[in-house]
Amino acid sequence: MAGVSFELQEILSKKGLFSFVRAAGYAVALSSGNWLLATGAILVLGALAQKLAVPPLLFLQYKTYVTYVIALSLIVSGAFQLLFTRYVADRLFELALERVFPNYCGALLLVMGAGCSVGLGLSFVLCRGLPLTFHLLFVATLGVLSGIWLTSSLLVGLKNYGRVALAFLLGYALIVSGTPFGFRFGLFGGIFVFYLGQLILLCLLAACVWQEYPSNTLIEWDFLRKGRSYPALAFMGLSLNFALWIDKFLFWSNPGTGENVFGHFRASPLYDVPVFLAYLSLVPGFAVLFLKLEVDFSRAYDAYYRAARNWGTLGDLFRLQRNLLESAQATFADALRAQAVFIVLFMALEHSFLNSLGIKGISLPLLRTLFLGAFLQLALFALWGLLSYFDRRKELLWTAILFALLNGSCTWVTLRLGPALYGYGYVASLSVVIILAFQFLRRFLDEIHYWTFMRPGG
Amino acid sequence: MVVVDKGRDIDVLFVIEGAYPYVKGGVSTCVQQLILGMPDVSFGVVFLGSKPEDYQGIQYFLPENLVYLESVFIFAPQKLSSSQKVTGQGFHVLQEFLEEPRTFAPSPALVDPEFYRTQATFPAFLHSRQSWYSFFVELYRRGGFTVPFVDFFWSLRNIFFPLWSLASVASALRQRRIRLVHSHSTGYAGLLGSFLKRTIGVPFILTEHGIYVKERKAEILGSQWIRQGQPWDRQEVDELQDLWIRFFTNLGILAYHWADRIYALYEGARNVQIRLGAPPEKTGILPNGVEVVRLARLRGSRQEKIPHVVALIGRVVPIKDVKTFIKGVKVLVNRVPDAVGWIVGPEDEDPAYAEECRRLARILQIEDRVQFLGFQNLEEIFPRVGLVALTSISEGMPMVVLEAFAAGVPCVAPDVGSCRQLICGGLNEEDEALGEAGRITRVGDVQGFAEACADLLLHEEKWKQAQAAAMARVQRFYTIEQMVERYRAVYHALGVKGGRSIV
Repeated sequence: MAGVSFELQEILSKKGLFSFVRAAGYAVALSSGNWLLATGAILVLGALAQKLAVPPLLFLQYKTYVTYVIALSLIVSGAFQLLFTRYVADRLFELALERVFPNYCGALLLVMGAGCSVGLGLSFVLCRGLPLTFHLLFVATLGVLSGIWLTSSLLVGLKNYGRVALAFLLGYALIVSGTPFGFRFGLFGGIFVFYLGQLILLCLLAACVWQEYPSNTLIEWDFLRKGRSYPALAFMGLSLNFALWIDKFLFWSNPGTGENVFGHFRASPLYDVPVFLAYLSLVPGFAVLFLKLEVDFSRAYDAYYRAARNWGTLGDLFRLQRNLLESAQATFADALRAQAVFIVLFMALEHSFLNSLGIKGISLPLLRTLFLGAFLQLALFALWGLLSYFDRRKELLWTAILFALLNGSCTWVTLRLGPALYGYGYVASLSVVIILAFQFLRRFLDEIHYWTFMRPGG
Repeated sequence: MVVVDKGRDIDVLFVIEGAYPYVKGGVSTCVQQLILGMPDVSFGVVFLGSKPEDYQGIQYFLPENLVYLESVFIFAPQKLSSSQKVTGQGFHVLQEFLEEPRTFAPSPALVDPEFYRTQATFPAFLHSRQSWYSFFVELYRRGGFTVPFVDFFWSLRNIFFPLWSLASVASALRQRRIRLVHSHSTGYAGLLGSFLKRTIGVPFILTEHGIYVKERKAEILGSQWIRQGQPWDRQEVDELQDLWIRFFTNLGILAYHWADRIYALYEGARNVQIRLGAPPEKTGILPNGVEVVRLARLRGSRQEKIPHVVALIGRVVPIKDVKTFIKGVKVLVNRVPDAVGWIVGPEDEDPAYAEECRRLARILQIEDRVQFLGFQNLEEIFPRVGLVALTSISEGMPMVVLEAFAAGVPCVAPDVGSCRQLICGGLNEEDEALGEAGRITRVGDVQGFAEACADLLLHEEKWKQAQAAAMARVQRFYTIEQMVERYRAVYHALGVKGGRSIV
């Protein structure tokens, strides 16, 4: 008969409607895992150096050096962490398991290369006047650390928590036990042990990836091809990690608050100890946040998308949308509540707490302000985690950029305004970004059906 | 995609869905004959196909006076034009397409290409909040649907997807000088015809070789494609099938509404068109014609003796009810021991059915009497058969009957479509006076079918009478030349006068 043939379903097929985001869903929230690990490492190694009763100056030099390499490597690798974790999650969804390892090798090479290049460039500034061995060690350490952050964010994103934890424990045990020996050879010995420990840690983590996803190919650059990954995530990761460190850089470089430690490495004892303490205080809040995201929210999320993809009438979708909204609220609120309880407890007991940690001579008002900042930081990570669950890459990127700009400019302003306002720049910038991120999330959730069906992928 | 453009004015623009010049068949043959038959008229063709890969290139030699040929693949992926607005206020108007056909009164906007360019653009259809809220969501809610929303959503997207490519084709054709638009079916072709009628303002005629809406409906209800994915229960499937049927029914009403003249092949089909919404005063009948001169030569190669061969000529598909034919042959063999049944036609459309038919012949133990010949050149078949037989449960105007007549073969056919008119003469009294060119049987009546065949094969004088009536009828009423003249008269009455260039 006349008439066009009737196999229509392929034209606008269902494929591509719901891009798969679950595995990488809260990659953003998880990238905060790296940041917490780093903070923990800085504090642990700082305490270690102190315990070893090395000369105070050596202790400060060691801590400053470690802080620098960790901060810089986090920022450099930030450009790859989210992008690559998401790339791998997409490949796993396609069941292209054999692609994981070769592309991981490619990404590792790239991120380590980037780490070394940045290290090389900065070494001319930071290590000026230091022996050549310092330059080389600085460059190599940056490369290795960048590789570690890429690998651990990948493994955590794929939920291999146990292995990551084990690898880190081993790596840091080596560092802790080797450092006293290293310090016999001065600062260089100490940081060389640090480098060796990190190198072993990287090998352990890479072995985990290999073990999980063996492949016949050694190296591939597929993740760099157009359409295979999302450049927005690279910028997001870069901005996010930069934003998390810009206030510290400013405190270090500001003449009134920072001091030269060695070479051109600077530190701000006034700001550094309280800020890392405040970050460490986030552990309970993050624990609740992850738990809620993983257990409650993901259930509501799956229920909604399964209904949208398969079986739900419009009425069902509205009902599940309400569930999703409530679950998002609960996740957000519970994490903050847990954190608030912890902070109140801490404030009630701050003297005995600080004494028991052996921390003396820090500014309590600044510490309290930074606790508030950390609290808001948790709120922002919760919102980011939710936004990344819904793959709102554009909103994530803009809020991260805004956070970097605001944290930089507000901190700069407070440094000019005087000690009474130290820390408030960080708090103020977070407040603004939180309001924005909250609006983004709310507007998306209000119209989730529209976005799901008419604008998949944003 | 414009395939041919000789830059000349177009006297008659054919809008053809799924046929000429890419697919062989009745409609295509008719179109080719019209173009060849009016060398003084310049023709254009807009071919509507699904996707390029569904076709194997142009199947016909393109005549000199075919001055324009455009192929439009309405289900091919479209690029979003970035210049178009991603908003639109017109989506509630689009809802009309899915209204209850009884109350469907098409807004003029529905066939206005401007409307699709400004009020309800394609990007807006895919991505805007307006189309989401005032189209998808509203339709689902108002219709009280219970199917999963995702299935409803994709059905709707698929249903409406081709509208924009049709609108843009119509827009582009505004530049051309066209004197008349002639669609060969309702459906998407009828819609494009309506678009053109509305934008260019030239006369629009609609001829239907079958009844498009009925064919679509049968296809939708019988097809499995809608039932992909999970096995929904019947009720739910029907909601989506109902959407498609409503859409095609309304497309029919729309084309009938905008057409200036509506033609069917025979009276019965005309009545169906009226029932489906064609205003009676616009309707008329334009029968097909066959190449009598060519086919008449075959009469000379016939043997004196009537071959005891009965041939069913047609695709081996359920609608042709080949099984009744096979059973009929079984009964016929009892009366005419040397009778043989031939089944001439391709079997690839429904291989399972073809296999069932072969098995039936085996079970009835007449596998040596029923021969499946596959696709054959009919010029070699006609001289070797005594009767052409049809057992279809539905037919329009079967060309094979007219061809058999021209080749001097009487026919036995069921009382469906125009078969009675062809065999008994139903155009007028003169036609009736020519006598019976074979026999009419009841649908599915095995005994009656066998009786009719036996009666003609065993009685030479009756057979000769039928043959004479067949040849006289086709010569008098159903030649190509007459068909061409009838169309020419229609075009002429609507202002297209050939003869400027060639005659």
